[in-house]
Amino acid sequence: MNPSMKNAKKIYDSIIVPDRLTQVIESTTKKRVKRTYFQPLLTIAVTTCLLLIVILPNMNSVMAKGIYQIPVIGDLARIFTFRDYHKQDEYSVIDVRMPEINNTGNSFLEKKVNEEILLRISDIINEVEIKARKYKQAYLETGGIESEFQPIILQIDYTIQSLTNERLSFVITSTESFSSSYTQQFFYNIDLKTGKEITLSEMLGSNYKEIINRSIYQQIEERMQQDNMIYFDGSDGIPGFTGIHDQQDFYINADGKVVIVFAKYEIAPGYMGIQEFVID
Amino acid sequence: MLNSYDKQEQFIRYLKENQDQFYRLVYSYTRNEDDALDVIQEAIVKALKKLFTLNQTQYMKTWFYRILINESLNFIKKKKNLSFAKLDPEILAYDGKDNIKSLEIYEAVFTLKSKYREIIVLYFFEDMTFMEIARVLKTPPSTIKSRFYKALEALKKELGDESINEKCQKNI
Repeated sequence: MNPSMKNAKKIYDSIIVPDRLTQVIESTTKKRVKRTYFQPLLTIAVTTCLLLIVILPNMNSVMAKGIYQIPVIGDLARIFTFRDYHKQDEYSVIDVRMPEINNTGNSFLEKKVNEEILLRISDIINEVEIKARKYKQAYLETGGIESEFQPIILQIDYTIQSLTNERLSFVITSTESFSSSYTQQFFYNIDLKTGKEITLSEMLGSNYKEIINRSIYQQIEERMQQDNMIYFDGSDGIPGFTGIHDQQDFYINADGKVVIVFAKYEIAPGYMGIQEFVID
Repeated sequence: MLNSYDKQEQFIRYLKENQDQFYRLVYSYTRNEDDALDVIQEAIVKALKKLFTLNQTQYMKTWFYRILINESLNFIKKKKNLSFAKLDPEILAYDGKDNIKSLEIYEAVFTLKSKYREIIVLYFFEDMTFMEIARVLKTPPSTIKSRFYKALEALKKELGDESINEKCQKNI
Protein backbone atom coordinates (compact mmCIF):
# COMPACT_ATOMS: atom_id res chain seq x y z
CA MET A 1 0.00 0.00 0.00
CA ASN A 2 1.35 3.42 -0.77
CA PRO A 3 2.33 5.53 2.23
CA SER A 4 -0.31 8.22 1.91
CA MET A 5 -3.18 5.76 1.85
CA LYS A 6 -1.57 4.01 4.76
CA ASN A 7 -1.83 7.22 6.75
CA ALA A 8 -5.43 7.69 5.75
CA LYS A 9 -6.07 4.19 7.00
CA LYS A 10 -4.48 5.15 10.29
CA ILE A 11 -7.05 7.90 10.59
CA TYR A 12 -9.77 5.44 9.78
CA ASP A 13 -8.50 2.87 12.26
CA SER A 14 -8.20 5.43 14.99
CA ILE A 15 -11.85 6.43 14.97
CA ILE A 16 -12.81 5.88 18.57
CA VAL A 17 -15.48 3.27 19.02
CA PRO A 18 -17.97 4.16 21.76
CA ASP A 19 -18.79 1.65 24.49
CA ARG A 20 -22.41 1.94 23.51
CA LEU A 21 -21.71 -0.06 20.39
CA THR A 22 -21.40 -3.26 22.41
CA GLN A 23 -24.73 -2.55 24.10
CA VAL A 24 -26.41 -1.85 20.78
CA ILE A 25 -25.12 -5.07 19.26
CA GLU A 26 -25.91 -7.05 22.37
CA SER A 27 -29.48 -5.83 22.62
CA THR A 28 -30.14 -6.05 18.89
CA THR A 29 -29.00 -9.63 18.62
CA LYS A 30 -30.58 -10.74 21.87
CA LYS A 31 -33.95 -9.20 21.20
CA ARG A 32 -34.23 -10.57 17.72
CA VAL A 33 -32.87 -14.02 18.26
CA LYS A 34 -36.22 -15.66 18.83
CA ARG A 35 -38.23 -14.23 16.02
CA THR A 36 -35.64 -13.59 13.44
CA TYR A 37 -36.23 -16.33 10.97
CA PHE A 38 -39.90 -16.01 10.81
CA GLN A 39 -40.40 -12.32 10.56
CA PRO A 40 -39.38 -11.81 6.97
CA LEU A 41 -41.41 -14.77 6.00
CA LEU A 42 -44.44 -13.60 7.89
CA THR A 43 -44.51 -10.32 6.08
CA ILE A 44 -45.23 -12.25 2.92
CA ALA A 45 -47.98 -14.24 4.59
CA VAL A 46 -51.23 -14.04 2.74
CA THR A 47 -53.36 -16.83 4.13
CA THR A 48 -56.77 -15.49 4.95
CA CYS A 49 -59.16 -18.43 4.79
CA LEU A 50 -59.30 -19.27 8.47
CA LEU A 51 -62.15 -19.85 10.79
CA LEU A 52 -62.99 -16.51 12.28
CA ILE A 53 -63.36 -17.86 15.79
CA VAL A 54 -59.84 -19.23 15.68
CA ILE A 55 -58.14 -16.24 14.23
CA LEU A 56 -59.77 -13.63 16.42
CA PRO A 57 -58.04 -14.68 19.63
CA ASN A 58 -54.80 -14.24 17.79
CA MET A 59 -55.57 -10.83 16.47
CA ASN A 60 -57.04 -9.03 19.37
CA SER A 61 -56.34 -9.49 23.01
CA VAL A 62 -59.61 -7.88 24.09
CA MET A 63 -61.52 -10.28 21.91
CA ALA A 64 -59.44 -13.15 23.23
CA LYS A 65 -60.33 -12.18 26.76
CA GLY A 66 -64.01 -12.33 25.87
CA ILE A 67 -63.64 -15.77 24.45
CA TYR A 68 -62.01 -17.05 27.65
CA GLN A 69 -65.45 -17.18 29.15
CA ILE A 70 -66.60 -19.80 26.72
CA PRO A 71 -65.43 -23.20 27.93
CA VAL A 72 -63.12 -25.30 25.73
CA ILE A 73 -62.53 -22.62 23.12
CA GLY A 74 -61.54 -20.38 26.01
CA ASP A 75 -58.68 -22.61 27.12
CA LEU A 76 -57.48 -23.16 23.61
CA ALA A 77 -57.58 -19.49 22.78
CA ARG A 78 -55.79 -18.65 25.95
CA ILE A 79 -53.02 -21.16 25.60
CA PHE A 80 -52.68 -21.73 21.88
CA THR A 81 -52.12 -19.07 19.35
CA PHE A 82 -50.62 -19.68 15.98
CA ARG A 83 -48.91 -17.93 13.18
CA ASP A 84 -49.49 -18.53 9.54
CA TYR A 85 -46.92 -18.50 6.88
CA HIS A 86 -47.56 -19.05 3.24
CA LYS A 87 -45.10 -18.78 0.45
CA GLN A 88 -45.28 -19.90 -3.11
CA ASP A 89 -42.76 -19.63 -5.88
CA GLU A 90 -41.62 -21.62 -8.87
CA TYR A 91 -39.79 -24.08 -6.64
CA SER A 92 -42.06 -24.75 -3.74
CA VAL A 93 -45.41 -24.17 -2.11
CA ILE A 94 -45.11 -23.76 1.63
CA ASP A 95 -47.99 -23.66 4.05
CA VAL A 96 -47.28 -23.43 7.73
CA ARG A 97 -49.46 -23.11 10.78
CA MET A 98 -47.08 -22.75 13.64
CA PRO A 99 -48.40 -23.09 17.18
CA GLU A 100 -47.26 -20.96 20.06
CA ILE A 101 -48.12 -21.55 23.68
CA ASN A 102 -48.87 -18.70 26.06
CA ASN A 103 -50.51 -18.05 29.41
CA THR A 104 -49.54 -21.38 30.91
CA GLY A 105 -48.28 -19.53 33.95
CA ASN A 106 -44.75 -20.65 33.18
CA SER A 107 -43.08 -18.21 30.88
CA PHE A 108 -39.74 -20.01 30.92
CA LEU A 109 -41.41 -23.11 29.63
CA GLU A 110 -43.31 -21.17 26.99
CA LYS A 111 -40.16 -19.53 25.76
CA LYS A 112 -38.30 -22.81 25.57
CA VAL A 113 -41.06 -24.64 23.77
CA ASN A 114 -41.86 -21.79 21.40
CA GLU A 115 -38.24 -21.28 20.49
CA GLU A 116 -37.77 -24.93 19.82
CA ILE A 117 -40.84 -25.05 17.61
CA LEU A 118 -39.70 -21.98 15.72
CA LEU A 119 -36.24 -23.39 15.12
CA ARG A 120 -37.54 -26.77 14.07
CA ILE A 121 -39.98 -25.28 11.63
CA SER A 122 -37.57 -22.77 10.17
CA ASP A 123 -35.00 -25.52 9.70
CA ILE A 124 -37.52 -27.61 7.82
CA ILE A 125 -38.49 -24.64 5.64
CA ASN A 126 -34.86 -23.84 4.93
CA GLU A 127 -34.08 -27.40 3.98
CA VAL A 128 -37.09 -27.70 1.73
CA GLU A 129 -36.31 -24.45 -0.04
CA ILE A 130 -32.76 -25.51 -0.73
CA LYS A 131 -33.84 -28.95 -1.79
CA ALA A 132 -36.53 -27.56 -4.08
CA ARG A 133 -33.99 -25.41 -5.91
CA LYS A 134 -31.67 -28.36 -6.35
CA TYR A 135 -34.50 -30.55 -7.60
CA LYS A 136 -35.55 -28.02 -10.15
CA GLN A 137 -32.01 -27.55 -11.35
CA ALA A 138 -31.48 -31.30 -11.65
CA TYR A 139 -34.85 -31.64 -13.35
CA LEU A 140 -33.97 -29.05 -15.99
CA GLU A 141 -30.45 -30.36 -16.46
CA THR A 142 -31.75 -33.82 -17.18
CA GLY A 143 -34.04 -32.52 -19.91
CA GLY A 144 -37.19 -31.76 -17.92
CA ILE A 145 -39.59 -29.21 -19.32
CA GLU A 146 -39.83 -26.15 -17.13
CA SER A 147 -43.57 -25.71 -17.49
CA GLU A 148 -44.14 -29.28 -16.30
CA PHE A 149 -42.10 -28.96 -13.14
CA GLN A 150 -44.12 -29.75 -10.05
CA PRO A 151 -43.02 -27.67 -7.07
CA ILE A 152 -42.39 -29.33 -3.74
CA ILE A 153 -45.31 -28.90 -1.39
CA LEU A 154 -44.58 -28.47 2.30
CA GLN A 155 -47.36 -28.42 4.83
CA ILE A 156 -46.82 -28.01 8.54
CA ASP A 157 -49.72 -28.09 10.94
CA TYR A 158 -50.43 -29.09 14.49
CA THR A 159 -53.02 -31.10 16.36
CA ILE A 160 -53.94 -30.55 19.97
CA GLN A 161 -54.38 -34.02 21.41
CA SER A 162 -55.46 -33.01 24.86
CA LEU A 163 -55.53 -30.05 27.16
CA THR A 164 -56.48 -30.07 30.82
CA ASN A 165 -55.50 -27.85 33.70
CA GLU A 166 -52.57 -30.11 34.32
CA ARG A 167 -51.48 -31.29 30.94
CA LEU A 168 -50.99 -30.23 27.39
CA SER A 169 -50.29 -32.64 24.58
CA PHE A 170 -49.91 -31.68 20.95
CA VAL A 171 -48.27 -32.94 17.80
CA ILE A 172 -46.72 -30.97 14.97
CA THR A 173 -46.84 -32.69 11.62
CA SER A 174 -44.74 -31.71 8.68
CA THR A 175 -45.46 -33.24 5.29
CA GLU A 176 -43.32 -32.73 2.28
CA SER A 177 -44.71 -33.90 -1.05
CA PHE A 178 -42.65 -34.25 -4.12
CA SER A 179 -42.48 -37.49 -6.07
CA SER A 180 -43.40 -39.21 -2.84
CA SER A 181 -44.36 -37.73 0.46
CA TYR A 182 -42.39 -37.52 3.63
CA THR A 183 -43.92 -36.86 7.02
CA GLN A 184 -42.20 -35.92 10.23
CA GLN A 185 -43.94 -35.49 13.55
CA PHE A 186 -42.87 -33.75 16.72
CA PHE A 187 -44.51 -34.53 20.01
CA TYR A 188 -45.01 -32.21 22.93
CA ASN A 189 -46.38 -33.41 26.26
CA ILE A 190 -46.14 -30.79 28.90
CA ASP A 191 -46.97 -30.78 32.57
CA LEU A 192 -48.45 -27.34 33.02
CA LYS A 193 -47.91 -27.40 36.77
CA THR A 194 -44.20 -28.12 36.77
CA GLY A 195 -43.45 -26.89 33.27
CA LYS A 196 -41.62 -30.13 32.52
CA GLU A 197 -42.02 -32.57 29.76
CA ILE A 198 -44.19 -35.50 30.79
CA THR A 199 -42.42 -38.85 30.71
CA LEU A 200 -43.90 -42.24 30.08
CA SER A 201 -42.92 -43.41 33.54
CA GLU A 202 -44.93 -40.57 35.08
CA MET A 203 -47.91 -41.70 33.08
CA LEU A 204 -47.62 -45.46 33.53
CA GLY A 205 -45.22 -46.10 36.40
CA SER A 206 -41.66 -47.29 36.47
CA ASN A 207 -42.38 -50.54 34.63
CA TYR A 208 -43.89 -48.57 31.76
CA LYS A 209 -41.74 -50.32 29.16
CA GLU A 210 -43.16 -53.73 30.01
CA ILE A 211 -46.71 -52.41 30.09
CA ILE A 212 -46.37 -50.68 26.74
CA ASN A 213 -44.49 -53.46 25.01
CA ARG A 214 -46.96 -56.08 26.15
CA SER A 215 -49.87 -53.97 24.98
CA ILE A 216 -48.32 -53.22 21.60
CA TYR A 217 -47.40 -56.86 20.90
CA GLN A 218 -50.96 -57.81 21.71
CA GLN A 219 -52.47 -55.10 19.55
CA ILE A 220 -50.23 -55.98 16.63
CA GLU A 221 -51.33 -59.57 16.94
CA GLU A 222 -55.00 -58.57 16.99
CA ARG A 223 -54.70 -56.22 14.06
CA MET A 224 -52.91 -58.79 11.93
CA GLN A 225 -55.64 -61.32 12.59
CA GLN A 226 -58.73 -59.17 12.50
CA ASP A 227 -57.87 -56.51 9.98
CA ASN A 228 -55.29 -58.35 7.90
CA MET A 229 -52.82 -55.60 8.61
CA ILE A 230 -49.17 -56.35 8.06
CA TYR A 231 -46.34 -55.55 10.43
CA PHE A 232 -42.70 -56.38 9.97
CA ASP A 233 -41.81 -59.49 11.94
CA GLY A 234 -38.19 -59.97 11.03
CA SER A 235 -38.92 -62.49 8.25
CA ASP A 236 -37.87 -60.16 5.42
CA GLY A 237 -34.87 -58.84 7.27
CA ILE A 238 -36.64 -55.89 8.85
CA PRO A 239 -36.88 -56.37 12.60
CA GLY A 240 -40.22 -54.61 13.10
CA PHE A 241 -41.41 -53.89 16.61
CA THR A 242 -38.96 -55.10 19.24
CA GLY A 243 -39.91 -52.85 22.13
CA ILE A 244 -40.20 -49.11 22.55
CA HIS A 245 -37.24 -46.72 22.42
CA ASP A 246 -35.98 -44.64 25.28
CA GLN A 247 -37.11 -41.56 23.38
CA GLN A 248 -40.37 -43.02 22.26
CA ASP A 249 -42.80 -40.68 20.52
CA PHE A 250 -46.18 -40.46 22.17
CA TYR A 251 -49.02 -38.14 22.95
CA ILE A 252 -51.82 -38.08 25.49
CA ASN A 253 -55.29 -38.37 24.03
CA ALA A 254 -58.51 -36.75 25.16
CA ASP A 255 -59.21 -39.70 27.49
CA GLY A 256 -55.91 -39.03 29.20
CA LYS A 257 -54.41 -42.21 27.77
CA VAL A 258 -50.95 -42.61 26.35
CA VAL A 259 -50.83 -43.11 22.60
CA ILE A 260 -47.59 -44.55 21.27
CA VAL A 261 -46.75 -43.47 17.72
CA PHE A 262 -44.44 -45.02 15.16
CA ALA A 263 -43.40 -43.26 12.00
CA LYS A 264 -44.16 -44.66 8.59
CA TYR A 265 -41.81 -47.57 7.74
CA GLU A 266 -40.74 -47.91 11.35
CA ILE A 267 -42.56 -51.10 12.24
CA ALA A 268 -44.74 -51.73 9.18
CA PRO A 269 -44.58 -51.37 5.39
CA GLY A 270 -44.90 -47.83 4.13
CA TYR A 271 -48.44 -48.16 2.83
CA MET A 272 -49.59 -48.80 6.41
CA GLY A 273 -48.60 -45.25 7.24
CA ILE A 274 -48.12 -43.92 10.76
CA GLN A 275 -49.00 -46.48 13.42
CA GLU A 276 -50.61 -45.54 16.70
CA PHE A 277 -51.33 -47.67 19.75
CA VAL A 278 -53.53 -46.56 22.64
CA ILE A 279 -52.18 -47.99 25.89
CA ASP A 280 -55.00 -48.91 28.27
CA MET B 1 -24.90 -26.99 5.75
CA LEU B 2 -25.45 -25.36 9.12
CA ASN B 3 -28.90 -25.34 10.57
CA SER B 4 -30.43 -21.93 11.07
CA TYR B 5 -29.68 -21.85 14.76
CA ASP B 6 -25.96 -22.50 14.29
CA LYS B 7 -25.86 -20.07 11.43
CA GLN B 8 -27.35 -17.39 13.60
CA GLU B 9 -24.91 -18.14 16.39
CA GLN B 10 -22.05 -17.93 13.94
CA PHE B 11 -23.31 -14.65 12.58
CA ILE B 12 -23.67 -13.09 16.01
CA ARG B 13 -20.16 -14.22 16.90
CA TYR B 14 -18.89 -12.69 13.67
CA LEU B 15 -20.65 -9.42 14.49
CA LYS B 16 -19.16 -9.20 17.93
CA GLU B 17 -15.66 -10.02 16.78
CA ASN B 18 -15.71 -7.35 14.09
CA GLN B 19 -17.98 -4.72 15.57
CA ASP B 20 -15.29 -2.03 15.78
CA GLN B 21 -14.59 -2.34 12.06
CA PHE B 22 -18.26 -1.99 11.26
CA TYR B 23 -18.50 1.09 13.41
CA ARG B 24 -15.54 2.80 11.71
CA LEU B 25 -16.95 2.07 8.30
CA VAL B 26 -20.42 3.34 9.13
CA TYR B 27 -19.13 6.30 11.11
CA SER B 28 -17.14 7.37 8.07
CA TYR B 29 -20.44 7.76 6.27
CA THR B 30 -22.63 9.18 9.03
CA ARG B 31 -19.99 11.29 10.85
CA ASN B 32 -22.14 11.14 13.92
CA GLU B 33 -22.13 8.59 16.73
CA ASP B 34 -25.88 8.29 17.22
CA ASP B 35 -26.53 7.91 13.53
CA ALA B 36 -23.75 5.37 13.16
CA LEU B 37 -25.22 3.22 15.92
CA ASP B 38 -28.67 3.49 14.35
CA VAL B 39 -27.38 2.43 10.97
CA ILE B 40 -25.50 -0.52 12.45
CA GLN B 41 -28.55 -1.60 14.36
CA GLU B 42 -30.71 -1.37 11.26
CA ALA B 43 -28.15 -3.37 9.28
CA ILE B 44 -28.07 -6.12 11.91
CA VAL B 45 -31.85 -6.33 12.04
CA LYS B 46 -31.98 -6.62 8.25
CA ALA B 47 -29.18 -9.17 8.23
CA LEU B 48 -30.84 -11.34 10.86
CA LYS B 49 -34.04 -11.28 8.88
CA LYS B 50 -32.28 -12.22 5.69
CA LEU B 51 -29.87 -14.69 7.22
CA PHE B 52 -31.80 -17.61 5.80
CA THR B 53 -30.87 -16.44 2.29
CA LEU B 54 -27.18 -16.81 3.04
CA ASN B 55 -26.45 -20.35 1.95
CA GLN B 56 -22.70 -20.38 2.21
CA THR B 57 -21.34 -19.01 5.43
CA GLN B 58 -17.90 -18.36 3.95
CA TYR B 59 -19.52 -15.38 2.25
CA MET B 60 -20.85 -14.02 5.53
CA LYS B 61 -18.35 -11.17 5.55
CA THR B 62 -19.01 -9.83 2.06
CA TRP B 63 -22.71 -10.48 2.49
CA PHE B 64 -22.88 -8.43 5.67
CA TYR B 65 -20.69 -5.64 4.29
CA ARG B 66 -23.10 -5.28 1.43
CA ILE B 67 -25.95 -4.77 3.88
CA LEU B 68 -23.86 -2.41 5.97
CA ILE B 69 -22.87 -0.29 2.99
CA ASN B 70 -26.38 -0.23 1.59
CA GLU B 71 -27.71 0.94 4.92
CA SER B 72 -25.03 3.62 5.13
CA LEU B 73 -25.86 4.84 1.64
CA ASN B 74 -29.57 4.83 2.45
CA PHE B 75 -28.79 6.99 5.42
CA ILE B 76 -26.91 9.52 3.31
CA LYS B 77 -29.73 9.55 0.80
CA LYS B 78 -32.31 10.15 3.50
CA LYS B 79 -30.26 12.93 5.06
CA LYS B 80 -29.67 14.44 1.63
CA ASN B 81 -26.25 15.31 2.92
CA LEU B 82 -24.43 16.09 -0.24
CA SER B 83 -21.25 16.86 1.56
CA PHE B 84 -19.92 15.04 4.56
CA ALA B 85 -19.40 16.77 7.83
CA LYS B 86 -15.67 17.02 8.43
CA LEU B 87 -14.24 14.37 10.69
CA ASP B 88 -13.86 15.75 14.15
CA PRO B 89 -10.24 15.10 15.22
CA GLU B 90 -11.62 14.75 18.76
CA ILE B 91 -12.88 11.29 17.91
CA LEU B 92 -9.47 10.10 16.75
CA ALA B 93 -7.19 8.09 18.95
CA TYR B 94 -4.35 8.53 16.47
CA ASP B 95 -2.03 11.41 16.78
CA GLY B 96 0.70 11.08 14.26
CA LYS B 97 2.47 14.21 13.18
CA ASP B 98 1.25 13.92 9.59
CA ASN B 99 -2.30 14.14 10.84
CA ILE B 100 -3.42 16.98 8.65
CA LYS B 101 -2.26 15.48 5.39
CA SER B 102 -3.69 12.10 6.37
CA LEU B 103 -6.99 13.64 7.32
CA GLU B 104 -7.08 15.40 3.99
CA ILE B 105 -6.63 12.13 2.15
CA TYR B 106 -9.21 10.41 4.30
CA GLU B 107 -11.69 13.19 3.57
CA ALA B 108 -10.85 13.16 -0.14
CA VAL B 109 -11.80 9.49 -0.29
CA PHE B 110 -15.27 10.33 0.98
CA THR B 111 -15.77 13.07 -1.58
CA LEU B 112 -15.36 10.58 -4.40
CA LYS B 113 -18.37 9.47 -6.41
CA SER B 114 -20.10 6.53 -4.77
CA LYS B 115 -19.01 4.05 -7.43
CA TYR B 116 -15.37 4.91 -6.71
CA ARG B 117 -15.61 5.67 -3.02
CA GLU B 118 -16.83 2.26 -1.84
CA ILE B 119 -14.06 0.50 -3.74
CA ILE B 120 -11.35 2.66 -2.22
CA VAL B 121 -12.78 2.33 1.29
CA LEU B 122 -13.05 -1.43 1.09
CA TYR B 123 -9.67 -1.85 -0.55
CA PHE B 124 -7.54 0.44 1.58
CA PHE B 125 -9.44 0.72 4.84
CA GLU B 126 -11.03 -2.70 5.06
CA ASP B 127 -8.17 -4.54 3.36
CA MET B 128 -10.43 -6.43 0.99
CA THR B 129 -9.31 -8.07 -2.21
CA PHE B 130 -10.88 -7.16 -5.56
CA MET B 131 -12.73 -10.46 -5.45
CA GLU B 132 -14.24 -9.63 -2.10
CA ILE B 133 -15.13 -6.11 -3.18
CA ALA B 134 -16.77 -7.53 -6.27
CA ARG B 135 -18.97 -9.68 -4.06
CA VAL B 136 -19.83 -6.85 -1.70
CA LEU B 137 -20.81 -4.52 -4.52
CA LYS B 138 -22.23 -7.24 -6.76
CA THR B 139 -20.12 -5.98 -9.62
CA PRO B 140 -17.74 -8.02 -11.80
CA PRO B 141 -14.11 -8.02 -10.55
CA SER B 142 -12.89 -6.60 -13.86
CA THR B 143 -15.17 -3.58 -13.45
CA ILE B 144 -14.01 -3.16 -9.87
CA LYS B 145 -10.43 -3.17 -11.03
CA SER B 146 -10.90 -0.57 -13.72
CA ARG B 147 -12.94 1.64 -11.42
CA PHE B 148 -10.26 1.26 -8.78
CA TYR B 149 -7.66 2.83 -11.08
CA LYS B 150 -10.06 5.53 -12.12
CA ALA B 151 -10.71 6.23 -8.46
CA LEU B 152 -6.99 6.63 -7.81
CA GLU B 153 -6.84 9.04 -10.73
CA ALA B 154 -9.65 11.06 -9.28
CA LEU B 155 -7.95 11.12 -5.87
CA LYS B 156 -4.72 12.27 -7.45
CA LYS B 157 -6.51 15.11 -9.15
CA GLU B 158 -8.18 16.09 -5.90
CA LEU B 159 -5.03 16.06 -3.80
CA GLY B 160 -2.27 16.91 -6.23
CA ASP B 161 -0.04 14.38 -7.93
CA GLU B 162 2.50 13.75 -5.22
CA SER B 163 0.03 12.38 -2.66
CA ILE B 164 -1.28 9.29 -4.29
CA ASN B 165 0.94 6.76 -5.85
CA GLU B 166 -1.08 4.50 -8.05
CA LYS B 167 1.38 1.63 -7.80
CA CYS B 168 -0.31 -0.79 -5.53
CA GLN B 169 1.63 -3.69 -4.13
CA LYS B 170 -1.27 -5.53 -2.67
CA ASN B 171 -2.08 -8.80 -4.33
CA ILE B 172 -5.50 -9.44 -5.71
